[in-house]
Amino acid sequence: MKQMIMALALVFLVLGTAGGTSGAAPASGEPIRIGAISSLTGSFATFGSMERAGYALAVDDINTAGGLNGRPLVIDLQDDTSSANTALTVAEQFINSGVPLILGAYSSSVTKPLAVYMARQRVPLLNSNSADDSITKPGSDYVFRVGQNTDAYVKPFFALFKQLGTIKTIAILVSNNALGHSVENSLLTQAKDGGYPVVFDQAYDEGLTDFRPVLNRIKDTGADVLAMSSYEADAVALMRQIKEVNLNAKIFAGAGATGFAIPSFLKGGGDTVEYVITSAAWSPDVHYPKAHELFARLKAFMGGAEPSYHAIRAYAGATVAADALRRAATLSPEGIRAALQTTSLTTPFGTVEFKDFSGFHNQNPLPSILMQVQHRAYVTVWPLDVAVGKVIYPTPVWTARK
Amino acid sequence: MPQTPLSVSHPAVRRGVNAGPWSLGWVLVVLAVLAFYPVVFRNFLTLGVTIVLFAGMATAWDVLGGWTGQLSLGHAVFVGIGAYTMALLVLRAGVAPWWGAMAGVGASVVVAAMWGAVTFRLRGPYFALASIAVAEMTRIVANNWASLTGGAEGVSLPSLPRFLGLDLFSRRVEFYIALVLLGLAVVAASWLQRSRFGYHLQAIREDEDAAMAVGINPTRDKVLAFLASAALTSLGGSLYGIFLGFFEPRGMFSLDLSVQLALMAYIGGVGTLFGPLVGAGLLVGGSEVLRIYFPGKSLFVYGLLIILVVLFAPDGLGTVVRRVRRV
Amino acid sequence: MSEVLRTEQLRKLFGGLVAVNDVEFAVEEGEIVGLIGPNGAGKTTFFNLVSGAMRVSSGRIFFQGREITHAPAYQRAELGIGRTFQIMKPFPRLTVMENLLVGAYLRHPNRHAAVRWAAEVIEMMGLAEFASASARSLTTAGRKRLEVARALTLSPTLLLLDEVVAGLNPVEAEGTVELIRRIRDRGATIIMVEHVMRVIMGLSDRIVVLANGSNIAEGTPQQVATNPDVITAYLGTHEGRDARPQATWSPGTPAGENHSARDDTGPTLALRRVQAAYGDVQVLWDVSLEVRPGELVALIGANGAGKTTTLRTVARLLRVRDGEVQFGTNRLDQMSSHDVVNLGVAMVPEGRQLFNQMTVEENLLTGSSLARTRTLRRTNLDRVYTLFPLLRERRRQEASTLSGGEQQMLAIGRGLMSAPRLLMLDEPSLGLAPTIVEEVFRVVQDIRREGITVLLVEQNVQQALRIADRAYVIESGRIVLEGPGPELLQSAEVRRAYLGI
Repeated sequence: MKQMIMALALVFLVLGTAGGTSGAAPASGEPIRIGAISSLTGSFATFGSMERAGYALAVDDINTAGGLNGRPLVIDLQDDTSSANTALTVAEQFINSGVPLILGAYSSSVTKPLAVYMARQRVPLLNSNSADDSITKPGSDYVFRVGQNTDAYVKPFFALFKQLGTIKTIAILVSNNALGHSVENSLLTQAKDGGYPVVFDQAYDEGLTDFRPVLNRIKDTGADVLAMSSYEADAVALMRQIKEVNLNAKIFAGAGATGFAIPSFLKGGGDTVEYVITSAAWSPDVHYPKAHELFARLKAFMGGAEPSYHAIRAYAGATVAADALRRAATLSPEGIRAALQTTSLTTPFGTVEFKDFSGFHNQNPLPSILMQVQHRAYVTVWPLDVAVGKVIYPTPVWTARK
Repeated sequence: MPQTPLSVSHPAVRRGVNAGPWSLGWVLVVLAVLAFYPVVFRNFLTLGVTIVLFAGMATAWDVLGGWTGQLSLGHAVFVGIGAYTMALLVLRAGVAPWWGAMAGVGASVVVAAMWGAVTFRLRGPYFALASIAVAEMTRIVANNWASLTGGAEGVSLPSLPRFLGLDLFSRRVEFYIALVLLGLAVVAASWLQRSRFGYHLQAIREDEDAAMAVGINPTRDKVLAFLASAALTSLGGSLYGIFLGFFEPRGMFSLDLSVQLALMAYIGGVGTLFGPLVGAGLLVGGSEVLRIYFPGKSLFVYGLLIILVVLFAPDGLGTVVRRVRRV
Repeated sequence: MSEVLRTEQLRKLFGGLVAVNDVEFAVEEGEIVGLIGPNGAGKTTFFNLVSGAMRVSSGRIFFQGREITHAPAYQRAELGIGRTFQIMKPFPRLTVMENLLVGAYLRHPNRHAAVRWAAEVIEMMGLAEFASASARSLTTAGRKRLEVARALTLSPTLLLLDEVVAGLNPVEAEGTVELIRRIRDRGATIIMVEHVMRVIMGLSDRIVVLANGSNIAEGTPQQVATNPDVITAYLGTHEGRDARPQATWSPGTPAGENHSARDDTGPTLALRRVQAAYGDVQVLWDVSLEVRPGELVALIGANGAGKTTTLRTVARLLRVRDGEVQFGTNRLDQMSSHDVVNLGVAMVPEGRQLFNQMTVEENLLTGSSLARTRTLRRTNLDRVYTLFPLLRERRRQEASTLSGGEQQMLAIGRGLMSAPRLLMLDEPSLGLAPTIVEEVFRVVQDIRREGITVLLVEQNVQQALRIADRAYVIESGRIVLEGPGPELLQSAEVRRAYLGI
């Protein structure tokens, strides 16, 4: 037992990554303080550092541009150590200290209990990055989400399929977690609506490393599209093993973004990920105002590391918060909630509005984009009005690649 | 026959037996002091609920882990069963949460009985290893049996009926329910410290062969201890489910949660009345203090502190107090 | 009188070894029965079968006329069979009082009554002053007493005492003997295993002798002590009589030449008034002995007399409390065990202690890890293989796949790999079949002929004395007799030391 405790302690040591709270702003007037909760340590620390960068740059920009009607904005960013218990503790302290609005959290597993608590406390929660549909479906009057719901990730694929015309059957393989099931459900509904038979549908348990048996079965179905949703390591492993079993599809689709839409997918997958099409919340080459420039600044802020779309969405979240604070009749939770409901703001991430539609409540209806891996880089290929490249279709069979 | 037998009141004999009524007195004192927490720390109720709730579950864990010496790394199973049984009965059948919690206790006891009957025939590290496996299996079943559990998307509790006129979502109410649970667990432990059954468990922990040689049936007694531990943990699980308001199999049945309970008992001192409480206070309260004063590095410092405790107080921090008092 | 315990055709197999062989045994109420026999005779196994700690392979056990062959241990305890463990098993973190309370609760579910009964036992056992001490803080003598006390809390009808006297000093031993009588007087029936012969011969109404798992003799202490079968069982067989001069065993070793060189090779080992102890239990009292260059000296004595301890003291595996251990001009008692090996003193431990998962050759090579011998590895290896051709054949086999005799050869071979000048062998014939025993003794002689001085500890007294130049008899940690091997063979003193008459 003693050894086990030591081993455990060492794990904590490794998980404990560096960080710090984001800062105040130099401006006149009495500052307005809001809370933010993110995972600066623990298993989600990588994404927490993205959010921190986004919040920090946003606060700089807001205060340089005159703050909130002359008063500087302060975002008090607290670490939830990737744990729901901690997030609830932090939220209580924020609310007791009079914070009228909280941003966060990163992971759905933390955000969902947090959202339940905030709704009960009647203080608005503005979420940027959590993926699960159930955060805003059915949602509550006090929970707002900037990031896309999973339906939005899946939709552009079917628009693309329709345009291409030659797609007939679809196979679905998702990880057995909340996000995977959301994506699976969206795929099933939209395939049915579009008249595409689903010839294979399975959820694999996280931690699985050998996908070859299931991939071989998919191969037997001869599906035109293999639609997947996985976190980082699985996405790379899947593509490598797809090559290994020589599974050919016309389109390999990362239908749930996440693992298929991050820089490490390109790095880890090498030439096996070429031609993969993934949905994405955002891409630096899209034609949204200031997107390019913001990407460069975030990269500089993070010491040269490649920022993911989480950083941009956090930036957008902070910008939306500032907008609501400026417009709010009173700086009370209710006042801010009312202001958030009437948000209509163009950000580097795209337009942000909070709408009620198909069961969602206070959800930003922004469509997602599609990117294809071309020459080991993501190229935005959909929708056509923001695309910078053309889809390469169909995906060459493995034997025809060099 | 030699000298007249010692009377029970003989000081030597008294000293040899764990002072019964005394420790029960201490239990009441500690619980009474804790009852003032919500008054003093009114802005830190969530933290208080977490500490007391986890202390209760860690004390329940200790009935099996510390007093009986059977290391379980799968107690999250009972936390999960408690939370899920309660929530599903509330959501699907409109049962009141407290009856749901009772049903959870029933389900946990059944699971523990089957699990114990199979694995307690094994000695050595097998029970610990098997416990990890059982917990993992339970998690996978809960994740995949979506029609019953709601699957990976999890379960949320939007509203609950009032309990004796109290709002179950109020942190203050949750705190006192957790305190009652902790009280139950600690009283159970203090009974184990001096009762016949408690001595059976301790004897099994110390040496199973010798225990059998004095007429103890180890398998039966271990299963009984397991049932008690599972029942108390399950109650804690139901309350934890209400506290979170939303939960999913990944969190509720996680190895991480099982290890936390064991760790709290170990850090505070296993097989002691207040060890698990000390451990929970240190790990939960301590990590909150560290989070505030060492932002971004709290887990690092936390790990470091655990190592220090293991190195310098291998029997748990609770025993340090005793050692210092002796000096 | 009624019968308390009876066994029918009781048998226990460990793999292929018959540990208890069709033992028929009966005990009457109120008796004290002594169960004796050489090491490995099956005494403790017999206890384990009767108490239920082990399952029988075949046969039946009756307790007070009721069959208990398949009853679990705890039921037998409830029925009234109490036992002590040879390897003591207290509940270490409980206090002495609590240790007893556990058993007291069995007969007295009421706490008050249980405490009262435990207090009575604690007083009777003279443990009252330790009532609040944790069991792990007790001395060996204290723990032995706790073992007995805990068994007594069951108010046993039948009490099995496994070596509760061995290892106690004379005063403590006397106290325990007195106590056992008192327990019997309270109505308990007692079976005791004991190596201290004087004690068991004095206490027992009747003695049963086990050898190789079989009941070979039964009777009053006097009858048993003069029984020729018993003497053979203790002092060894006569089968090895003709084993002496054989030159056939080590090809390539001119036996005669080496033999003649014995008087001038290597230094002399001398122990002077050596005292040694395990914790608080003193085992050696003023042991003095000498092994001259080229000699084969045997050290014999009953179980627990201090033979192995003497060897361990020389090898510096045990601290010398007082006295000197000299090897040539070196004081071994002031060196580390590592340096002792470097000087050329090798020990082949009892039970062989091989690395079972390693091959024969790997096992041998571990014997030459010292800088001094590493360069001579190949030479030494060849020498060992010449001495044991069988090991060469099996060099790639795992040690665990060898037979008992082969394993003993390997253990001796490993000892030889350090090119020792003095080789100490601890019970090399233990647990081996008679023909193999003979072979082992032949090998020992061959080794001596190679010019290596040998100090041999043996239970097989007949064989050992036959091949030894000289021998010492040790009893309760003291050397009581010394003389040429064949002479001691005839000595009545030896018999006394072994059988306690």
